[in-house]
Amino acid sequence: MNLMGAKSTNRFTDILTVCLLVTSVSWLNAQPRITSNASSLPYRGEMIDGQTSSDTRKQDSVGSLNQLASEEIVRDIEFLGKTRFSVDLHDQTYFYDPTPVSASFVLAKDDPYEVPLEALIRIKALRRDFSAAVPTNDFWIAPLGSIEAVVNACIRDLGEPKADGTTTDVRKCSVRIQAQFDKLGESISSFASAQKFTPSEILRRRDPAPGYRVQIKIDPPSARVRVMPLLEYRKNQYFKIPLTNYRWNDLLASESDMIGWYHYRAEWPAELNGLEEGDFCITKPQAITFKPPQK
Amino acid sequence: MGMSDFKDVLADFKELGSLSLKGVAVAPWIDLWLKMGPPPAKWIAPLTSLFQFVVVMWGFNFWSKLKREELNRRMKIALSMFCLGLITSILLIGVFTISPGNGRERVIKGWVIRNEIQPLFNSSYIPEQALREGEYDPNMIWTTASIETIRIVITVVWLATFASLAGYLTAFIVLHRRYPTRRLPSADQAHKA
Repeated sequence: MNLMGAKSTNRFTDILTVCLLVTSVSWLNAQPRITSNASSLPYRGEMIDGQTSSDTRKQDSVGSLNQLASEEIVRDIEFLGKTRFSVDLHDQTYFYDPTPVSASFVLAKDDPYEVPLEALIRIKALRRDFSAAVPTNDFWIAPLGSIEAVVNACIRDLGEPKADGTTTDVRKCSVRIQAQFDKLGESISSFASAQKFTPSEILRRRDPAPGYRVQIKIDPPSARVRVMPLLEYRKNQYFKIPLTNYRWNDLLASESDMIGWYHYRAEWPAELNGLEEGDFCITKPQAITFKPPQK
Repeated sequence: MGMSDFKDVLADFKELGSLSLKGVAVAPWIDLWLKMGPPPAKWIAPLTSLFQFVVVMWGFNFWSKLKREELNRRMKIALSMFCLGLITSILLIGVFTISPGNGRERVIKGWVIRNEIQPLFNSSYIPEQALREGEYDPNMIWTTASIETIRIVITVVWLATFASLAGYLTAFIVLHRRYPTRRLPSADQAHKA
């Protein structure tokens, strides 16, 4: 699908700026013959000053992506930088969301750095959440550090030709990163067992009825559309939950399984009359088209 | 002709009984399409048939040597239980389940509303409406324990209803195998004799 909004454009511009900066610095430092088959950061070249130049460029890549990830969790606290860990001392429950965001929302398609950048964003978000939720516990520090080390190693290795002339496989990076996230999950489970916390998802077992297949269209495709079940929206309104803590689900211009009533929020550009909210109901397979509101 | 043939057909209980037992065993499977019974239909349908099969085997094994009066009594009890179970099942399914839409399994409601959602309800906003607004997820409105309790009750009543029907037919077949109906001679046969 193609979500082209002002937000995506700004993000792409930032990434492009960083890439150009890194490229310039690397060129000035090592005068390499840079050959690249990726759209973002340079990662291959003929070294004049051997290891030093290569290490510098690798570190620049790592630093740039880390900085980008840090900026993302500040800029986009509702999607890329959403809350991934929290604790409810009153109910003795904890919430942990390790699911990765689709890498296509992070960088351009087929960019070799999309997987490590997405992982870095998750790491930054988790570090923020752990520090806020369990500041006196350190069970997460070592596992999170391991994940970060693996991700940084992947960034350094990506595209760098090996001795046999091949390049690091992104899928292998993805597997290694996921393995580390699994270990973090185990640490969290151990902590929760020790504190007698239960996952908030288990307490309220989710078992929605099978939905109807709904074809979503966003016309023009320049809005970010998010939904949540209307009941959840009512609860948030009744208990005066801050808007930033609403758990929205992004609705993409594709097919979704839905049933019942939903509340939606469409963020149109200002020239298309801006923000729109409303409710809709699904009772059968159908197509829904989101259009900008008329003023 | 006429009524005597009708009696002959009815009296031919071997074929009738066999067909009836097979029909009763197959009937629950229709719920896979109708989705009128307790959910999930793909489990309840075979479970019901299995239950009926067990009852039939039980009946043939343990009731074969019972006297006519006892078999008659058991037939009456089984039929009464079937009628009562049918009415109770319809009532429970109507009150404690809701259909999300065409082709969808019925959703079982609970009877204890969750504390965190209780404040939302009033005379104009009822739990069924909340269910429609919560993707028909009953766990968002009622406690899991109450939902599962209702599920067990509905399932047990449903199984008992169809087991009673199987028991009624089994008693009928056993009764007429042990005490076959004597065919009275027709008027012509009696005249010739």
